[in-house]
Amino acid sequence: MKTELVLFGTHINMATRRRRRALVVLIYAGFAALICGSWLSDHWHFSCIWLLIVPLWVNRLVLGHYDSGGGLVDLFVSKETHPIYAYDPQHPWARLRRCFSEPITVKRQYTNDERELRRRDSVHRTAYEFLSSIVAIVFLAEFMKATDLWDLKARFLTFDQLIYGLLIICNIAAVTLPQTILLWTEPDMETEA
Amino acid sequence: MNTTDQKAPGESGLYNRIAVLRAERGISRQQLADAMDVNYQTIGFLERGEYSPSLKLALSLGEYFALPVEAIFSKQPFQPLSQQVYRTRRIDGAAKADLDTEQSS
Repeated sequence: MKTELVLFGTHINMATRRRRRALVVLIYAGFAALICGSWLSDHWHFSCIWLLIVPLWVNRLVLGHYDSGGGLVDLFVSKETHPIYAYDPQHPWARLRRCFSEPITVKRQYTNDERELRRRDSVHRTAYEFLSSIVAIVFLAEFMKATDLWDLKARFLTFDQLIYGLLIICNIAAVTLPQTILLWTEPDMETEA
Repeated sequence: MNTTDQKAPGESGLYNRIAVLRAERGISRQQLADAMDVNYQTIGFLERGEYSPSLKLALSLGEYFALPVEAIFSKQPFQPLSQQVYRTRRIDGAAKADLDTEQSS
């Protein structure tokens, strides 16, 4: 995990857990605002496309990604990224990427050591548990609908909207949760080697 | 009883001498991390006892410091190195005195 967040060329010190937790809260508050905004605008009809795209960009810019190299969390895959990204700085795609994240030049940024691999596995397990619980809620809701146990039509949210909302949360969590758990739980980092 | 004033190990449940050995040899965390092919923060976690290394990493550390693994990691608190050296010298001195006595008699 990096101690500095590079965002559009600005270096922000994120070595302390307090700062990282504040960032996580900010990110999920932003997602919550986006979900509410999307609901208010068209009940998640067309605006929900942003709820699929924005988490990917938050990953790429801030959190870190399985395949980007940008963001705080190092690549989860312990292998080199596509050579174009890392080694051909003149490639149009590489130039575009440099607008958002610094190119990967250090081997350590795309490989994880044994502790990092253990942490990666641990946070994925926690994220999996959360996602499983959402799937269980979806199943429970479907069951209640099928058995007429709970009539959601009378409420402000239709049944389909409820399922849709849960799947939106599921999508956001699937893309961002492992990284945010890591940012939340890792202790203060030493900036000086 | 903890006679060495060492703080209890962290999550790993292991005491270690990495920080002492590193300071003794004048190497930074980064240098040790590069030699072990790990992140320098992992060295910090090891030193604080917050991470128990794999057997491979423990053996690599032993190889690097030219010491057996049990001289670097222990489940019991370590005695200070100076105390151990003093005790070894005392034992050696006593053995030599016994030998001299035997020879003179």
